[in-house]
Amino acid sequence: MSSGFLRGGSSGTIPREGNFALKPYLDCIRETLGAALCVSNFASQIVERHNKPEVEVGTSSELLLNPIVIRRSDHESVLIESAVNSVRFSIKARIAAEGVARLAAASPHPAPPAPPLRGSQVKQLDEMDEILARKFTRFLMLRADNFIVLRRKPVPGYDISFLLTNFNVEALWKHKLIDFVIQFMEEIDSEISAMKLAVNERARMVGYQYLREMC
Amino acid sequence: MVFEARVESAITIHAWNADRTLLAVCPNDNTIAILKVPTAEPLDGPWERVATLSEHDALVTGIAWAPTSNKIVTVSQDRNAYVWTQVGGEWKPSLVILRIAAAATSVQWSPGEEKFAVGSGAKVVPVCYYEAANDFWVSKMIKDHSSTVGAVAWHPTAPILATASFDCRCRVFSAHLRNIDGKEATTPWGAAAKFGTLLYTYEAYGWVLDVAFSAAGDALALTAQNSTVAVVDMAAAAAGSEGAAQTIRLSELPLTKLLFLPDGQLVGAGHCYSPLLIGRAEGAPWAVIGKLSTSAGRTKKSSSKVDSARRMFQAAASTGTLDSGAATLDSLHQFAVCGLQRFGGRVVQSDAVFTSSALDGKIVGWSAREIAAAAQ
Amino acid sequence: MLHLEPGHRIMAEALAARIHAPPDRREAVDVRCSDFGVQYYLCVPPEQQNVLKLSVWVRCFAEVVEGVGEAFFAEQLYPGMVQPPEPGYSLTLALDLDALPPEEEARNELVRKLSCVGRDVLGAPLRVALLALLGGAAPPRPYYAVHHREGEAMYVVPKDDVVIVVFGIAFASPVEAAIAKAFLHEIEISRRQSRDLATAPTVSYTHEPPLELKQLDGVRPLQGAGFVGHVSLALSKRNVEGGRLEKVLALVVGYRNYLMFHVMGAKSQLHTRIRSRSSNWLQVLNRAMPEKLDKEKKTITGRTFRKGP
Repeated sequence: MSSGFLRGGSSGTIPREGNFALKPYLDCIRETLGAALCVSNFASQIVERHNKPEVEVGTSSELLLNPIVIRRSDHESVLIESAVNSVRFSIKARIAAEGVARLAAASPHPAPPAPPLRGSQVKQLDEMDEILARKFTRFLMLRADNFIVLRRKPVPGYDISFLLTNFNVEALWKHKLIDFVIQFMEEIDSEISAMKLAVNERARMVGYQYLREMC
Repeated sequence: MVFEARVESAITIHAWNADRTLLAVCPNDNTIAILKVPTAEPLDGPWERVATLSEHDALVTGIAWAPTSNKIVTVSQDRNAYVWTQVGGEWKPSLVILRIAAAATSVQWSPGEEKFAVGSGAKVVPVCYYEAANDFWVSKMIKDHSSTVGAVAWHPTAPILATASFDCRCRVFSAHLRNIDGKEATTPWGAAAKFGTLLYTYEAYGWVLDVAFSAAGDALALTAQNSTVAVVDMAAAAAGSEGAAQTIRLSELPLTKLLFLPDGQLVGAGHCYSPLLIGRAEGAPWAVIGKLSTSAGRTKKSSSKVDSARRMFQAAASTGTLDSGAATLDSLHQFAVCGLQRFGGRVVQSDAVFTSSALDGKIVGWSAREIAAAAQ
Repeated sequence: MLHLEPGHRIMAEALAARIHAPPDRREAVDVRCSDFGVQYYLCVPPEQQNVLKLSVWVRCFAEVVEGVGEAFFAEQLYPGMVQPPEPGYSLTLALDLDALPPEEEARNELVRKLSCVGRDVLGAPLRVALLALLGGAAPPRPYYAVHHREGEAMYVVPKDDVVIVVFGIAFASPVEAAIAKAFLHEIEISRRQSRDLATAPTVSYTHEPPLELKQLDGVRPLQGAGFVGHVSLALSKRNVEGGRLEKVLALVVGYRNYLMFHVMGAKSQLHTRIRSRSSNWLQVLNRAMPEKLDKEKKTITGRTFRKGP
């Protein structure tokens, strides 16, 4: 993976170490996706002169393979549904506070030790995560035209879905296509955490300056 | 020495004429391009297009070029097939009455070239022959499939046909047509049975993707989506013995195309981008011998400085990296292989036993040297 | 630009142009603008160019007047300037341009004062309470409520040695509400953890109304879909001594605006970030696209360019 490019990106503060924990999970997804993407052009055997992704049409059961769920935790899993000419890949994103703690610990400007969490505080962190995840996915799905492989609607129960068809695999290098999906998964998590951190940093600064004026 | 030529932007299937001077390819659309094989270097780069066959109106899925009669048969997802004959330099299509309600998937000429078989999404296999009285090709159906038939293969001597289907079965049928094959014909199963008789079934644990008969007709090979290849001993299958089929598990992604080489070894490729060589020593079971690759003799493309600088900046803008977006796999093909054809000829200075084509638009000719190297 | 100006910039400029203009070069004007829920209307009629009228509308004017009394504006804050309000406005101030003080500095002061009229109207109860605190007088009322926005309020609760200001904060959009929560939470932490803020007012952030409000009768609890919570600031005498009354008044009354400004800023920062990350991903996806085989190259005039042998 081209981590050099990432460092050049806008998210200079994302610590890459965090992804070591993700690696076995992502490796597993990479291998499974590589095998699932053994798809080829396949015209509909039900409707004349149609050529549609069988995983979406689902009319011929023999052309569908058993769906695979790869689960890392209760909140983090992917669903890979494959068929003869298409693969549907759905992600349930991590929405938990542990990543924030990890990020805060690795941040170059360590925040002062946080006071003991109250009930409402944990809830607030979760809410922010969820809102950011929703905003992110919504933004991407509105741009599904550009992200050719992005499905406009996620599969129920998941946050974001990709539809990879034989046409994508014919037009794009398969290994790079998988690289994209993996990099996306790797980054959406850390990006959400980093955005949250940025909001909190700004909030603290703004609060501090406000009170400073009154001293 | 291996040759490697990117002749079109994309190629799905390819077929050679008898003397290997012309190549028919489908550029992943509804046309067939007839390309002239260059007689001098450079091999790489677009080959001269001498004709374009454009009668189909959906993706072309099969091309077969009969070596003796010089007829090309093409099938497409538009449910039609055409037999093309060369009349005074022009290729003229004649319609085939295929009578299928779904896409055609593949086509093969019989060894005698007087009939051909078409795999179809209509779960039937039309076997077509020429009816001189009406001046068109008519078909007779082989049924018994419960899903799309993805590939067909003719036995080299007997009037029997093997089919690969998405119902996870490989079947062998009698395709004996009295008016063409005569009354008497022998098969491994004895005297030829009635047309459409199911002779043998192999059950795989995945979609059967391709079938091939060996040159001598003593073995039938098939490949399935679960990354297995099975080789069926025809004599044993005909005798009904249990162990007629031997299944080989691959440690690679599934093969979608199989081809028997003249020396009896088998090559296969597909989602595994480098061809696998499968064979057996005398008396030993079939096994994967090795992977065909090349490290020597590969010519590097040279490009001018201006050209490479331009490419670099284009790449930087669209991809965010400075490398020109080149693929990084070490196989010759960077896309799934979707055609394997026997070659047995020479292009400029390169011999090739067989050729492979992939969606990256490349034709790769594999010579005896690579095959020998894979065996080591 | 971390802090907001106490006044309204456009109003200040329009006022300054009239107030500083020599009598022979006056121009009529008719300007309406609004800012953080306050509407302003500045008018110099063409037929009577020596009279400047400044009207202002705030949502809870009746409530403010009821708290501080009619006389507060007419006698204390704007002596001799208060007129019957123009239709659609809460308060109208009139200024005779022929009777202005001649000194430059005094005129500037007048511009400053008038441009802050929104703050001063909304902050009138707080001003009363703080003046009482400074003067050591007994609190004139147990509390003042200023419902300056729909679903939101500012309460001023004078105590013996402090004035407690409680804001009930709400944001309609769930995204803004979530960001605002982070902001309120962080200001509380800042106050507690930074040593150099030891003299700043104490801040607390709670969802439930704080104890000071609960003890009062007649305070309706705020609620609603976007309700974020209560933030209370305890202002002691120390904070407003030494001529800092105006500054602290502006900061406290402007807290809701300050918060809104930065919540919106943080939100657009998030959007920018999402956008740039998405375009990075698009580049990664583009990396999977092989180059097309160049069959022919066109020159700039559209003619086909072929490479020589």
